[in-house]
Amino acid sequence: MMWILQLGCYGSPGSDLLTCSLDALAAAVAGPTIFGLIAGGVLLTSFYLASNGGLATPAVLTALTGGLLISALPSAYQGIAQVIIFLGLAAAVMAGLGKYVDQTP
Amino acid sequence: MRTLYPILVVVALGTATLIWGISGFGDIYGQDDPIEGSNAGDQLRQQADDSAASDNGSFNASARSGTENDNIVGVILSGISFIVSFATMVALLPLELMNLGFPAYFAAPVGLLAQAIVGVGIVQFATNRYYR
Repeated sequence: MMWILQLGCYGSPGSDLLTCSLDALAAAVAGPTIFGLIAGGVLLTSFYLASNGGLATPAVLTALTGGLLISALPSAYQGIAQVIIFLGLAAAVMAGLGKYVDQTP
Repeated sequence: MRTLYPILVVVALGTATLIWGISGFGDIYGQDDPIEGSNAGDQLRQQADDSAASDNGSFNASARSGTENDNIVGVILSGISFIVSFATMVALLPLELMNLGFPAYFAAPVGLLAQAIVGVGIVQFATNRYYR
């Protein structure tokens, strides 16, 4: 892909480094929302594997990471952080259901 | 075969969608809602409206299937229909994944797999067997 090698955004005066990289990453997939889904899914999966199969700790860590990212990301890309928080919320509900509901085959 | 996990995933996604939509979290930050247009919340709201529990806590006798519960056969039939309608919430999973932003070539096969697993679960429930 040629757009990866377009480094003019990084060199132009007044440009933001994080926005330049996020432009390329969001353009690689269908948009910022699906990039947030992919990033949040990888984050949740890695936290899930690191916690030896529990889902409560990855849910909390994912939601906290999304909450940090809301203030850290540029305003055009806050959807990424919102989707990560949403994934943490869904994982938290899933953890509660798995603990108290899932005792039947 | 433990077939409850796909239903749990769908219920968790739907509950999170409902919490997200009602709380108005996206409105605070001035962004468009990333999960706007998902019909899982509407489906859950519809099921909540159809249930016998009303808003103020009293029992709503005329909610749905008012005459089926008169005898034991009616109770069994309405119970089976409730189980089946609950399991068909999994049919929403491809639409839900697509509304979350996944492309259709990912969401449709995953939803088909979940529907197949839940179909095995319905057969297990109906025949009172446990397939290993």
